[in-house]
Amino acid sequence: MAPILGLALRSIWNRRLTAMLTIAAIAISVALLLGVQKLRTAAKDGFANTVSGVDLIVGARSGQLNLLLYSVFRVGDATSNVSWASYRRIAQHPDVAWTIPISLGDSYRGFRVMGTTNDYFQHYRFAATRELRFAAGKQFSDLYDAVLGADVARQLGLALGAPLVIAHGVGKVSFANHEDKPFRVAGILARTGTPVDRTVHVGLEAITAIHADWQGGTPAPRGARLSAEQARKLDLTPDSITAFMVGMRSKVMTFTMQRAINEYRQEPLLAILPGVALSQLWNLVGIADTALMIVAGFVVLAGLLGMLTAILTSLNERRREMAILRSVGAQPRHIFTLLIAEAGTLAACGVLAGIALTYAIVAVARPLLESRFGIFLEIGGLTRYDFGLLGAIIGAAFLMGALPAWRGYRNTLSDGLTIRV
Amino acid sequence: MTSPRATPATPGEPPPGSAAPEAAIEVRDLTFAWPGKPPLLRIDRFSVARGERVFLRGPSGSGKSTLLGLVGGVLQPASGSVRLLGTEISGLSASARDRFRGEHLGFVFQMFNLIPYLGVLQNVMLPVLFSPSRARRIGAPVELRAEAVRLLSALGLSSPAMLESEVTQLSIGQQQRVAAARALLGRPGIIVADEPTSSLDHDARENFLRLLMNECRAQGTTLLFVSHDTSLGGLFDRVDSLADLNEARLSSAEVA
Repeated sequence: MAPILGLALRSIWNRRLTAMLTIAAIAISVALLLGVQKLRTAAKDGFANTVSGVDLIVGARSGQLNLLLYSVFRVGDATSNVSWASYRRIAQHPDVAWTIPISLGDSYRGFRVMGTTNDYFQHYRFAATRELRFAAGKQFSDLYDAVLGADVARQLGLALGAPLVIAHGVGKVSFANHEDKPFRVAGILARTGTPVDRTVHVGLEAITAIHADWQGGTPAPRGARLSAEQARKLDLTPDSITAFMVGMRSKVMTFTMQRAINEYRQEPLLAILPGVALSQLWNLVGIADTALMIVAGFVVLAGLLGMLTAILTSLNERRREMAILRSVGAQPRHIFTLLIAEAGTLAACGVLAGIALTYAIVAVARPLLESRFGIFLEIGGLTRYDFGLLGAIIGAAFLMGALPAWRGYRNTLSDGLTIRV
Repeated sequence: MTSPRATPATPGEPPPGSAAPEAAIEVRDLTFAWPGKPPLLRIDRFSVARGERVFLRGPSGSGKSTLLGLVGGVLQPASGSVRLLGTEISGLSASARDRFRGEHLGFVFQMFNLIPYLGVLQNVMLPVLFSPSRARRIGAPVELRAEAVRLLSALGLSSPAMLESEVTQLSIGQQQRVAAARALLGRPGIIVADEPTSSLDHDARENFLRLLMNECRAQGTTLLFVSHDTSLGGLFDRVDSLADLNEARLSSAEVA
């Protein structure tokens, strides 16, 4: 067996240009497959890690995905608000340990602004049990304090004390800004890998303050506007909020509370279990994820077919080589083994090169994915699933290699020591 | 054209006075036909004594290569027997025939004798990859290379630079000599040469043959040389014509 492997390696080296191209094709397809696999794992983990420790999310009655998307992922808008009275009533329920009110609708240079309270920094959890941590500064202590997510601070180059003017609405370009009530960066959160990194947090009362002199979505005429200092003196209790998160004293009561909120008579509300909604959302996104894997699988197949073509096309010109090997005592099974060993070697080299390429791409793309999309790619070892995929690729290569090997075997039997080409 | 001393009384039989107790090659009552085709070969008797150098002539398409396939154990006769060095190879299994071929036979082909991705020495040493007993006949593994170098030198290829060169850089004549060295490595009992000189010019042809025969003589190896070029027959102990041996051709000629 060892001599055959030696011959296979020398034979590959003899056709090194074709072999290199074949290996490159397999390597690229393997890198794509592993890359997609790493990305989907990272995306899934990031997804599941977005919010934790929250028992219920409550918003105006719409759909649970819609509520999850705007309250957690800052995607889309609420169809309606939750009245402050309803919020207070639920928040004061004896089974409720804490609540985090959320008020959305404004933005800062493309980043969503979220009005909330300091309870947010205290109770919000991500990645199972991790708390929000301040990389610099602290939580709100003044009405016009803002706390920035890590990406906001880094991408916009904002440091503590920097002023910022919030825009009305969530468009990237806004024609109405709250320039009369500027904020000051009081804190910058450490990176979480969740939508928190891309959020500008301000106090709930600040949201009321900046809209105090607004009517029907437009600012008051210049003479009728309130200054930032004048707004401080107002009762800044909001009339409504966009949604709120609930932490229960006992997890057992979660379902009872969920039913009670969903049947709340005073206002049409919807309470969702974040875990269930996340899983439903992932199933939806998972279709694209599966499609991506199928495409990657076909790319691998194309790479292996390239290898098959390269070996098959070389077979005819190698019939004399086979006859020489037969003349020195090689058996047809040796010829079969030689050809299948070549396929296996090409695939194994392709897989190894593909792994190296994947790690190189991950190392290069990691900061970009992290900053642009908040996806954390781990440069960890390969998972059992990865090994399964790679094993399947090598197995498929051996199966494909069986075709030229079988043809070589048949040629050997029919040619014997003379070639009839 | 055959040399006067080389023509035996009966085609295929060793010359009178041959002392070989058991023939190196002995073919008896052999018939062979490709599937769906009329018989190509029907040989009543053909034998080559041990150490004998026989020239077997025959035009293209006369079944020379098929006969070599039968002698090499790659093809199986429809009937009859092929006995090599006292072993009935037509009765062996396919893998046993392959092993026997690796151990006891050396082949030199017409062209393209060498594996292009192996060096000169690696090509010469190729048989020992598949035949450990052939390697053992040479001795210790360290002697293998020395024996390969010796054979190449005996065949006129002694330049150290040539030993390290790519086989594709060699001339056809040099390639044939490398192939001959490979066939002779490990002292196989029989060398079968299938038109090995057809690509060489006259001088190179004769030079190659003399070197090959000298080495066969030195090793006591039997040589079965097949060619359509009758001008070389004078260098051999005996010349046979496949046309005379093959009764299948005779019959078809008679019918025609």
